[in-house]
Amino acid sequence: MSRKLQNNLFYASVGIAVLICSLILLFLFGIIIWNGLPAISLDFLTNSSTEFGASGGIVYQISGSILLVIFSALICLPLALGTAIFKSEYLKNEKAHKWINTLIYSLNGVPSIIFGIFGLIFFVNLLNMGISWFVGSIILSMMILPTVTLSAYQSINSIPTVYRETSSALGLNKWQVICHVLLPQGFSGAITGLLIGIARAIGETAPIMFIATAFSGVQLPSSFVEPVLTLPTHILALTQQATNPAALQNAWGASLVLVMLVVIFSISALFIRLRHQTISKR
Amino acid sequence: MEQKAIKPNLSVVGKTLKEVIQIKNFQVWIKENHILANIQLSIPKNEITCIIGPSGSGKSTLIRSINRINDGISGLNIQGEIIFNGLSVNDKDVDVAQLRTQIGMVFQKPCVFPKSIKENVLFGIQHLKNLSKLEKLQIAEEHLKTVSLWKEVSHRLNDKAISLSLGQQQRLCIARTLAVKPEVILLDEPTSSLDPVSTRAIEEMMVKLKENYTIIFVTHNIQQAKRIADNLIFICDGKVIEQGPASRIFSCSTNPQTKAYLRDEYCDC
Repeated sequence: MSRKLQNNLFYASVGIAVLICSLILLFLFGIIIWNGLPAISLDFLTNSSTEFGASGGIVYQISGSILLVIFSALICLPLALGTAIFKSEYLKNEKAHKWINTLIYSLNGVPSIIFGIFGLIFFVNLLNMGISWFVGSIILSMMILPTVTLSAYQSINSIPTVYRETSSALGLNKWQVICHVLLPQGFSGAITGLLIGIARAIGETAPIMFIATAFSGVQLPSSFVEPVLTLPTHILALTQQATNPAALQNAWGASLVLVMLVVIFSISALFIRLRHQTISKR
Repeated sequence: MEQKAIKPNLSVVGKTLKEVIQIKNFQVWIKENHILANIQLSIPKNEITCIIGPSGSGKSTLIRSINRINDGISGLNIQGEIIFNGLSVNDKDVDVAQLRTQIGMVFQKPCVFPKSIKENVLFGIQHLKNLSKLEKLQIAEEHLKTVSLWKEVSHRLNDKAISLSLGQQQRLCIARTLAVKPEVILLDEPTSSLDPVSTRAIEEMMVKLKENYTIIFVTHNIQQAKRIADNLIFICDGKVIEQGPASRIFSCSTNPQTKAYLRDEYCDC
């Protein structure tokens, strides 16, 4: 009986843990949706902001954020795939593997504000590039590099050896095996990692607020060295004028849009992962 | 890469069989384990050579050494020589990919790529030449016919290869290997995961294929070896216990270990 009781107690406690986790998420989403939904309208999504965001919409904030993460993805993907292929296919030395892992995890552990300061000192001050969205993309790509690299590595490394052997036995060179067998099969893993990375990058404020963004008065950039508006920095600016109810309302609205973008990226990552699993299971 | 000149052996006359592959004093270690010890073998052309032996005896390691697919294994250490048409396959300047187009291999479990049936047959040659669509189709047809798969799949060449049964997949794998036009085909227990009907189909195919190819067939199934082998090599514990014409070994082997293995499928060497 006591064993059964223990069992039930254990079951109850892990169940409660799950419940608390879900409630936190529901609570957060609930509040954001409850407060943000009244601010959302077609005008809000398609107009530019006026009065430092207290009125008008957030179209340039949305476009700026998306521009930043798309370019960071483009910069990140080849680096991550290259590292993953090297690590999975060429690196045999186990010590070197451990070192690279340590480096990747360390990069993942760097606080985001440090990336911001680094960008400010290196790109803005030292290289004199000024406030530029492209620098922001570079910094964000550095931030998501570990996530994408590990995800790509796992998906390439989990391809059964027999595929490598079969294609080599047909007379394919190593790079042909990589291009024709490993990359096509490992690509969806890399894309999954990329979407998770993007979902994280799009919400980052600290790394880009000194180097890539302006708080208002900017539209679409026409060159690589112009600032953009982004959702997280816009929310930050609006919260600072929280005494104005219109600004606060718009802050909730912008938050809801941001969360929706993150959800879209995360769900697409989930779908690609599910599709990939069904392929590799067969 | 320049290939070493392959000198025709002029002493081969009459009934003397030309040897395609010779293995001399070949030894393999993987880390500290001595997998193969002092292997001396010769593989005659256009015949089926079956390698039998208990599991773990080194059969797979041996044939995987011939096309150097073992290269990727960490801690691999080899000594001795494998000579293919006068070319020492372990020489530093050998183009391994080129070597593997001449020595094809079929693995234990059928492994098809997540592509269509036609693309799978052409997988090994798609990168080598610029072929027209028609030529590709002809090549696919020719090789699918060789493995008697054409009737079953001709109406659905663009279906995913994964939709075929395991036996069909393995025949597809053989067709894919043939499409590269190898001289030698290595088969590593190709029927061990298949049903009896598919197994028989592949055995019959082997007997037909030996007209044009040299076949090295690893199996742990003695009956199978009896059905198809021209030559037999019995390996146990990394050593060649006996080799020679299959008919002689099956009917009157003098080696007590071979006798015991052929009788009981058990070997205590």
